[in-house]
Order: sequence, then structure tokens, then C-alpha cells
Amino acid sequence: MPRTDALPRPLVIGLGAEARSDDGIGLDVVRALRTEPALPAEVVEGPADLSRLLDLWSGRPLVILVDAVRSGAPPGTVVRWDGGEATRLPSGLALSTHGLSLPDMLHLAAFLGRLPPRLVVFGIEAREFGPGTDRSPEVRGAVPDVCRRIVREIAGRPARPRPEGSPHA
Amino acid sequence: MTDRTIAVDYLARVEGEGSLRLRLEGGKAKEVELRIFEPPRFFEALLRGRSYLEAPDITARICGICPVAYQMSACHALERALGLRVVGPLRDLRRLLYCGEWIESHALHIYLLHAPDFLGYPDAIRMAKDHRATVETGLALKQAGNAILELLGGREIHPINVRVGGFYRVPPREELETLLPTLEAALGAAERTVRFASGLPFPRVEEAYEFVALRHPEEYPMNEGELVSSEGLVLPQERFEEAFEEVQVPYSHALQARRRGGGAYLVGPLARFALNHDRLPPKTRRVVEEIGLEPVVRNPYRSIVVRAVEVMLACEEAIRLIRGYAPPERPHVDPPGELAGASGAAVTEAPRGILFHRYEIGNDGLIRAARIVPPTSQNQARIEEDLRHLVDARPDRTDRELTDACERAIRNHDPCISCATHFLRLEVERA
Repeated sequence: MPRTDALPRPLVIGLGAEARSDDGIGLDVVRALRTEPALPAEVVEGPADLSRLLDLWSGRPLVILVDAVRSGAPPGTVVRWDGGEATRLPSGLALSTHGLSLPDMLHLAAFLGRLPPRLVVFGIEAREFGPGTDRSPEVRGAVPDVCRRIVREIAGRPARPRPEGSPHA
Repeated sequence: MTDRTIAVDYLARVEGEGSLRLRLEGGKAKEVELRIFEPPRFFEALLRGRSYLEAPDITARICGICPVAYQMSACHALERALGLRVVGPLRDLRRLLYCGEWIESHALHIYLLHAPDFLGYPDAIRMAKDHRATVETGLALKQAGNAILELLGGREIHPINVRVGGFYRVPPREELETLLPTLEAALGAAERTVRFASGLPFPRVEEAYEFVALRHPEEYPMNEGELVSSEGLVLPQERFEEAFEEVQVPYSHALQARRRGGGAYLVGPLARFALNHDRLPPKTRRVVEEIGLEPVVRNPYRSIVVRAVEVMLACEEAIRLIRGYAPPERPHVDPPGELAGASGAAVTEAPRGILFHRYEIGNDGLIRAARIVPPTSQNQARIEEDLRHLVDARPDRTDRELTDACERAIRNHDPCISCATHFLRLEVERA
């Protein structure tokens, strides 16, 4: 008899580069989430090659991505997009040799029909992308709030999304 | 008589920064300047004073798409300095790791960067809308290459398991065998890729390249072999500097390599294939014969076919190496305990062509001097010649058409700056 907990659980993916200052904030969020007791979701630090997201999230009913963004908003500002909005984010440069940017990857996944049934992206406005493993205080300060919102998202009680300007992710 | 200057200040979809400036006088390309801002120069200074053991990991940071090439050239150069020989399973594992890099790097270029040019799309994302299966094949191939890097290198980008003398850890046989199903599928996908690429529509162009590559007595070259050229050069690889020099050009931070006493030359898939087409493994050779690919391809647009052939041979080789693998007793060969000051150089075949490293080490094991000549700086002058011919053949094109055509011509060579589809800014001067 199949166990019910064998069903795919929601997946939270933190993205970013550890050694690029605030860019690593998505990683800090998923590390903080790991300390949540009995979180009914799997939590991972994302692949450096974003094209692997397609396989990573395959079969998941809900996927939550967390990444640093730059939109000109005050550092530490948290924005939330659902899947439909996320695939319309501006893509910046089309492609780099290292692979695809997150907006590019989401566009591509949409064209390939490989977006998860529910996708939520949390963006945390960053200040500093230079070398270093320290985060700016106001960016680090957003972590507890994002964690709370992710927990509510997983529980099916998302905080009401606040419309924000489109950041240049 | 119309004089035109086309300046493209920033190449997008590039590794690092590059720009292009064209000046036309009387319908002829007067000046063609491909400008690349290259990080390796700084790395050479950065390496001084560091332990020689750090060189593979430091130089791997030069490129996110071909870090294995930097690790391999660094290891071979330092091992030559130390008199170390890496043979047997350790040698096989290195070749396997290189196969992984060729697969992921070439698959990315073929499907996500180059194919849109032939199928008429501005980028792979919009191409995916109409060519879903094609893009899926590319992503699957790339991931097969990444899987090798991750298992053997410790992670998929900037692997951390390579060291002078071998590896920090070597996998047991059963662990390596977990890659086989993925690679068998990749081999099939690679064969389809060769057939797909050979069926694309190609502009009719022939360039008189001097090809330069490694050549090995038994295998398609990756880690080892002599330096050879289509003009008859044969030279031990560690003597690279006797045949090639780097010159400064006033418009670029990057140095451009040339044959000493000669001109521009081409490295990379077209060169490797032209000089090693008799070294293909059997399945790949059969497919190459079936599609009727000529042994020397001088049409740069058809590099996409040769790159696909190299993906297939890398898959075939990877499978062979895994099937024949018996773990070594130790993960690496030990360097000598007492270091006498030494120097060593080596060339390996990065996905984009030969990559030269030379190191001088002091008695204290610290690097005194380092020199790195990446494939892109070697191809830069030859790419400019391609562009010159392109402009001269059809000077009636509009600035927009000319810019698009130049971008395509640059992408043919997948330079580390080339992953560009668009030039962001275009300035036109008309006299």
C-alpha cells in the first residue's frame, strides 16, 4: 500500500551565489527554513546551472523559488510573483555562456510546457553583488519575513501579493 | 564612395565583455576590430606566490563553461615540471572528465546559441516555442555532460576534485556506472544531433584556415598529443611558445596570438577534426561516413556539424572509459617531497581549442611565473579575417544586416566572447 507521504512534497529552492554578497540571500532563506520544525516541504539550495531546474522540480505540485533581485527598490524589499507573472519578468541579457538567467529559464520552461502546476517566486531586493560572503544588514533582515511567507504559502495561505514594479531580475 | 563605421559597444550572450568596430571605406572593410576584455591576464599575476597545488583550482575560475580545460592544462604543465606521470585509470578519469565538459559546452553552443541562427530565431527561448523537442534534446545532452562533471568533479560548475597528480577522490566502479544509462541516452541524442546539424541550411563560404590542434597517436586529442598544423607544423606541445607568439593590438586589452613569422590561425572543433578525423571512435565514424561529412571542413558555419560530431565522440568515449574502468589504488600520484625549482608547460584541447599553460615553480613550491594562452585569444585574429571577408563579399548590406551577419560569423567560432546573439548598441557613422 503506498504511503501518502511518498507523494511529491512542495519544493523550496534557494538560488544565488554564496560568495557574491547579497546574491546569496536565497541560500540563507532555505538554510533558515531548514530549522523550521515539521515543514511539509523539501528545501534545497539550487543548481548553479538553472536548466537543471526542469528536472529538479519535475512532478512537484508546488515550487517556491527564492532569489536576490535588483529593481531599484530599497534593499531588503520582498516581492512575490506567481508562475504566470514570473514568466513575464524582463529577461535582461538573452543568454550568457554560463547558461540561462532565471527569467530566461522560466520563459523556456513555459514554452516547453514544463512549469510546475504552482510556481511562486520570492525576490529579495539586494544591495551588493560584489565578492564576499557577508550580506547587507537590511537584506539579511528580510529573511525571517520571507520564511514566514513561504511557510504560509506551503500551508495554502499566501499573504496577499503586493503589486510592485517589475524588477530587472 | 560611402564610408561607414559600425561600432558595437557590447556583445551580449558573451563570456566576459567584447565589442566590435567595423570601418568601411569604398565598400571595403578598412578596419575590423574585435575587442575582448580578457580575465586570464590578471590570473597570471594572481598565481604568482601561490602554491603550485592551487593552480588547477585558481585557473578553473577563469571560465565557468570550460573550467576542466584550465584544470587539465594546469595539471599537465605542473606535472611536466615535477616529472610526474599520470597513467592508467587516473588518465582515463581525466579523459572522462574532459568528455563531460565537451558534451556540456558543445551542447549549449549547438542548441542554445548557434541553432537559432540557422532556424531563424533571435534566441533559443523563442526557438523552443516551435522546436520544443530540439531544445529538450539540447538540455538533456548538456545535463549528461554536467552529470559527469558533478560525479567526477564534485560539482557541475567549477569542479573541485581535480589536483596535481590526479584527483582528491576517485569513484568506485559502481558509482561511475550509474552514469551509463544517461550516457547511452546521450549517445543516441548526439547521433540525432549530428544528423540534425548536417541538415541545416548553410551559407556557401570557404575560408583558407591554417588549422592548429593536438594530435595523438591513437585517440582523438583531449589531454595529450603533439602540436600540429595544416601547414605542416609538428612540435612537442610544451614548445608551443616557439611557434606561436602573442602580439598587442592597440584597440584591445587582450593579446592576439599569431604563428611566429606567419599570420592568424584557427583552433577549435574545425581544426581538431581536420587534423584528427582518422581518430574517431567506431560509432561516430560510421555516422560521419553516413552523412558524408568531408574530412576537412572549411566552412565556418558548418562548425555546428563538427561540434555535434565531437559531442557524439565524447559520449562514445565516456561510455568506453566507464566500461573499462577499474579504480586506481590511490586517487593521485604524489609529487616529489623535495622540490627543485622547475618549469613546465602543457597544451590540452579545451572545447574551443588548444589551451596553453606554463609555470615556473621555486624551490619553496610557490609559483614564480605563469603564462596562459586561451583558445579565444588565439582565434581572435582569424575571426577578424572571417569578418573582413564577409564585409567585402557583400558591402551593399545595410548596417543592420551587416551587424547581424557579423554576429553570426563570430558565433561560428563559439569564442568565449561569442555566446552573443545581439549586440546591444550599434553606432553608425556615414561619411
